[in-house]
Amino acid sequence: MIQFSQVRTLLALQRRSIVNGFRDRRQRYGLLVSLITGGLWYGLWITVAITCAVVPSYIGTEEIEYSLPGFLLFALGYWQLSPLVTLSLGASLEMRKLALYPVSVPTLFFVECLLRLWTAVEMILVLCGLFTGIAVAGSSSSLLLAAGLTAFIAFNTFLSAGVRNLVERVFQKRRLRETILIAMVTLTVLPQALAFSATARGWARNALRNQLEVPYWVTPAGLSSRLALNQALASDIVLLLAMIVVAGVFGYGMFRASCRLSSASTAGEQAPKSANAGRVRWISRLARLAPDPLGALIEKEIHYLWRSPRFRLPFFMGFTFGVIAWAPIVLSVEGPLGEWLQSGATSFISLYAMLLLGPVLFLNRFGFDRGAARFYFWMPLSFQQLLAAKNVATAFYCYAEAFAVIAIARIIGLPVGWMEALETLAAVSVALLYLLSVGNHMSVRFPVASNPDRVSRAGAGHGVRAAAQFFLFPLSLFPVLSPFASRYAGPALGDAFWVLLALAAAGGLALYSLTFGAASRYGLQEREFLLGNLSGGEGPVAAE
Amino acid sequence: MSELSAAIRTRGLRKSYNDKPAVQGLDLEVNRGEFFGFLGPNGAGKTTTIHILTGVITASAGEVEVLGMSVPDEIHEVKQQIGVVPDENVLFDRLTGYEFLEFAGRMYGLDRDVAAERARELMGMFELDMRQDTLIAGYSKGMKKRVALGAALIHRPKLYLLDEPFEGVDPVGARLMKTVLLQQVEQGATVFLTSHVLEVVERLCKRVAIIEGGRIVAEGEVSDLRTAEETLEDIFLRVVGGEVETAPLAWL
Repeated sequence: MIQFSQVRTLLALQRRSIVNGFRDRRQRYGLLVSLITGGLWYGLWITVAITCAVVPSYIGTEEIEYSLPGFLLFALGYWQLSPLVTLSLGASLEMRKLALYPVSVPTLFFVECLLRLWTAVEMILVLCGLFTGIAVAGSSSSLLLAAGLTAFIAFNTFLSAGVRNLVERVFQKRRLRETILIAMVTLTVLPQALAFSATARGWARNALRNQLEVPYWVTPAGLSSRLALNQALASDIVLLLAMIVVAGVFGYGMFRASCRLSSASTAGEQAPKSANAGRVRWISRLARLAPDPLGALIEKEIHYLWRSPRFRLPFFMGFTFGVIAWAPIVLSVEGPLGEWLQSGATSFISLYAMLLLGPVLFLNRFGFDRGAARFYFWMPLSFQQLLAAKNVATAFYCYAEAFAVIAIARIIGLPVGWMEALETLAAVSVALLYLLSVGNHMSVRFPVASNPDRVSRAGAGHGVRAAAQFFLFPLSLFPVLSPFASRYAGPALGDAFWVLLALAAAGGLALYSLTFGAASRYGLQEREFLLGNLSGGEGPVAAE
Repeated sequence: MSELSAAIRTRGLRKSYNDKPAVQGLDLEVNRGEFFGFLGPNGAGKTTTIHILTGVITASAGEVEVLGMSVPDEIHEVKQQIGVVPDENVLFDRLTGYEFLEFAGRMYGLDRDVAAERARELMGMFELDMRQDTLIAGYSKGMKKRVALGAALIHRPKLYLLDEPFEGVDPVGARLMKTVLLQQVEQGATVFLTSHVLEVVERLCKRVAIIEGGRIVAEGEVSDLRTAEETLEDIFLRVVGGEVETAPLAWL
């Protein structure tokens, strides 16, 4: 049974943890930035919601009846897929801490559902706006609209709870995790992948067309729409309820399994002897190029990241999901834009992959070290050496990602020659300079302990880091993208590609040189703050 | 750096957190080759003192000398000659015990092969060789403490700063660790030990200091402090005011 008193206690505890976190002056500054970025983000969605509320009054009931199922289908897709694509699965319960207390699984599942609702709050805002608009337009009764909306939200909440916990669980199982994840994301984009050949493209088009003719009762979007618009038969309502129950059972089952797995944690996890030994030799040889302690640090960083599911997920997604999701877009566009997209495809995908890796490889580089970061400060090494080692390991994985993107792109038939490969590596090199410049500063100024086993990113947590991640980080790629943009502008400017890239590289190098020294000085000077933040615990909800 | 200088010397050492004093005018002198016990109740300032000595945090005021070198001015040189076992688990839990020891050795400037060989030998000595390929995340608390001591030993430092090293270690492991530390002292190293297990301190340490509220409240040779009537525990409780009677809770 759900113990609502415990739910209230958990929520109050989380609120207290957040409030206590803002005692520090720097955290209060973060709160201000959080409020501004949050205001911008939710302001955008509230604007969309208001637009959705206004539109029904200007279109007829017939148009509403025609377009609502499609709109809800889009909402369903966004709700379920956007967390996967952006690898931002939202806040989650700290099961290892909560397992100590007599809290029932249904109670925890209730809180989990509240968290899933909070994660999708922008979509809920839009849906509320739309359904309010339909009610105002008089296309259906308020009661039925509320029922349809509630059913749709319930289905999505349960399904997202299930998907989230499934992804978490898969990534805590050795060996299976990467394979299953790749299979999952590949299946997600299979219809697009099929569009590669002319035959398959035709087949996919037909499938897409036929999909529009799929009976409404196949999806909860269609059924919720009919319920809301007073078109549902009794059998439709039964079917919709059945779907919600199935989603609930799936969500609850996955959540319960996650609870069991959390208590097992990573205890006793073995480094696979043979594979590890091979990797050790290979990486060790590479790291020998740098003298100790730099070499030892680089080696440690490379091993450490590789053993963290939290790193491996975006790393694998970059060259699997990234390529497969982008390829149909690149191939389906024709004319000059298509040629431009194709010539820069591997570069764009590699840069997208770097953004996916941002929270792990750039923005919070000490997060996985947690309390162990203290170790660095009683070792005879400088902060510059430490930061340099972390930067080298970051570069190592970004180049590895780029090579993997090039290889996969070639395998699936994207036009990638030597020149495109060279451009990709050059673009990655220049992007590294800018992203590391931002990342080094963020890592020392806004560090937060991060769980290497938790595969999801629960938003960006700290407001300044969130702002950097969603605004500054993508914007810092502008100098890298401008040479590609110049190529699209025309052949004359296109010839200047390498010149513009070289200019971007020079700018990046200057920026990196300046910021590296400043970040190192700050890290050393403010080491107590750094260590304090990395050793700090969280409330019952993890929002790293 | 003078060979005759004290292993640790602090004068008027102070450290405050948000105007709240953690260490208040600490004057401390630990001789070379000494097994020194640094005792105190929770929150007395022991760990803060160790953090200052190791350069992890900076003192608000006062002078610190470690092995004749000034801290923080010569902290890099100091770090090369000290071995630290912290109170908390601060090991990189995604490395195996062996990998961590080798990593620590290389960080202290040992040649890769030497670090690897010593790491293997330390794993054997601390009876961890059966768990050579297990990630530290899978170790028990006692095993982590053994690895931490191994990392402190690997470069044969002149001074050991040990913060509750025996906490969570089984009697076999604790005996092993004590034997190793006593051997190090016999060979001329200095051990600066904090522990709540006063029997262990009494048995191992030649001299102790008791800190309370960031100040030294008792200091001297264990044999001088101890009397026929008072054990070290009695003295400790007396000087830190731990013998206060507490009223029982009605509901407990």
